[in-house]
Amino acid sequence: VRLSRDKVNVLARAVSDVLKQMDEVEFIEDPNTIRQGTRKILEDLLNQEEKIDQSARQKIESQKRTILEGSQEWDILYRKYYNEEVKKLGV
Amino acid sequence: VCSLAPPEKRLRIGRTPLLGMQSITFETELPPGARLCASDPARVLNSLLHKIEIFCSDKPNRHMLLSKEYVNYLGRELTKRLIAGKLIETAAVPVVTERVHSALLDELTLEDRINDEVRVILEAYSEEMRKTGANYQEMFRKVKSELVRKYKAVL
Repeated sequence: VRLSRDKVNVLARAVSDVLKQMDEVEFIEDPNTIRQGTRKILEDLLNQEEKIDQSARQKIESQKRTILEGSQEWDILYRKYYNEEVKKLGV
Repeated sequence: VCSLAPPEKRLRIGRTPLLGMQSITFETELPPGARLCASDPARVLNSLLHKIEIFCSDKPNRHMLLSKEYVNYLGRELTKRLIAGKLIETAAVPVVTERVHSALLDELTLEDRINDEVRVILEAYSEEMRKTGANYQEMFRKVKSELVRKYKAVL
C-alpha cells in the first residue's frame, strides 16, 4: 500500500463520518466496527491498486529498449498501461 | 542542473531522470539592461525553481495519491462491500456511493490543496524572497509543514 497506515485510518474515518451523517444509511453494526471494516476494505483495495501499479511498471520494463522512469515517454506508457489494468476491473 | 545557454535571455533547466522528473525548458525574459552572470547562481536558480513550481502547478495533470479512475472505483467498490458485508444498509446506493467517493477524493487531494495554498502564500512574498535570496524549496517546505500542522492534516 503506497498510502501510510495513518492515511488509510483517516480515509476510513472520513468515510464512516459521512455515512453517519446520511439519513439514507442505516448502520447495522456499531460505528467503530464500520470504521474498522471500512479500513480493512480500503487496505484490500489499495493492495489491488499496488498490483496494478506493479503490472504497469513491469510492462514498461519488458519493452525492448530501456525507458527511463520520469521521462515523458515513461509517463505516457505508465498512464496507458495503468488505465488498461483499471479498465479490467470494470471501471 | 542549471545551465545558461545563449542567447542570454534563454535559460535552460534540465532535470535528471534519476530524480524521477521530466526535463523541461523554461524561457524567461530578463528585465531591460539586466544580464545573467554566474556570480549568484543560487539566486538565479531559486528564481527559476519558483517559476517552474508555478508552471508545473498550472498543468492539468495534478499529482494525486491515486488516479482519479481508481478513486472512482474505490468509492463504488467500498460502498458495495460495506453493503455486501452487512455493515450498512441503504436503498439509495448511488447517493451513498457519490458521498463516499467525495469523502475519499477530498482526503486524497488534501495535499494538492495545501500545496496550492503554499504557492499562493509564497507568491505574495516572491519579491521579498527574491531580494533576500531565500531558497524557494526550503520556504515551501517550511510553509507547508506549518499548514499541515494548522489543519492537522495527515498526508
